[in-house]
Amino acid sequence: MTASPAGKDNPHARTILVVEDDEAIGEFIVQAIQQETPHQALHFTDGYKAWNLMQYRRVMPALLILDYNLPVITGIELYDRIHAQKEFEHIPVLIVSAYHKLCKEVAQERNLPCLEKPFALDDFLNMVEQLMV
Amino acid sequence: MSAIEYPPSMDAALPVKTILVVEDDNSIGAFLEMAISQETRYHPLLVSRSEEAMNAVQNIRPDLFILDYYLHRTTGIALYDELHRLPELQDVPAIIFTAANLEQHRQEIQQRHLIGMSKPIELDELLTTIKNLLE
Repeated sequence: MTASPAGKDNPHARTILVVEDDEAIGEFIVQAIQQETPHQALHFTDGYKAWNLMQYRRVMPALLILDYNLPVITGIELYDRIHAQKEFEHIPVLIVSAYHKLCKEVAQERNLPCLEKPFALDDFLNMVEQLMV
Repeated sequence: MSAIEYPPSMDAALPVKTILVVEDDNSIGAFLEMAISQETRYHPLLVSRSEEAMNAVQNIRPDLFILDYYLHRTTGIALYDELHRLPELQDVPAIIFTAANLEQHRQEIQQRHLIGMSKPIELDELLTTIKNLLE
């Protein structure tokens, strides 16, 4: 497989923020996005770091991928916080969760796409591709 | 023409697959990770301990396991049995490496329909086996 087409070498690359508290899984997801899509990805292990980047550095990601079970604030709390700001409300969000019930609630109550863990990488990348259109 | 250029693997619409590598020797693990990344179109997920492997499969569903026989406080065979007990992983094939004579472990490897390979690792043989199992 060829090296990443994303990042600074690709003028059409957009940025995806991945918030996942497991370091190895987060890095794996970032690598997969960068190798399989034209986009670049940044990994954060907690929601506050991602929130600070958006709020204070004015970084506007094209997609947010949020694990539900995060330390400090959950992925849903982070979503609600982001969604409450007009400038960020249009950003698509994908929730990933090991809890089937939670995924169902998220989909019903907030109309958010939710992918259940464990997921196949192919299914995950297909969802990312759909949300980036 | 589309403004966004997708890499070749997405153009071909081939399924993207994950290989869970469990190896407690850091240099061999890094070597396997690099070889899989550079020489195949699959994605390696490297961990060094069985607990990390069990955690990894709660997040990502792998398509192949590559396990070292001797792991910290356990064996690759015991880990395979634990992984294999999970319903969604029952059909995932596995390659198991051992630095010992393969004959010593032949029975337990064959009973489980695993693919046993010897260390030092023959890279060409490993890559061919991976491709045969996943294509």
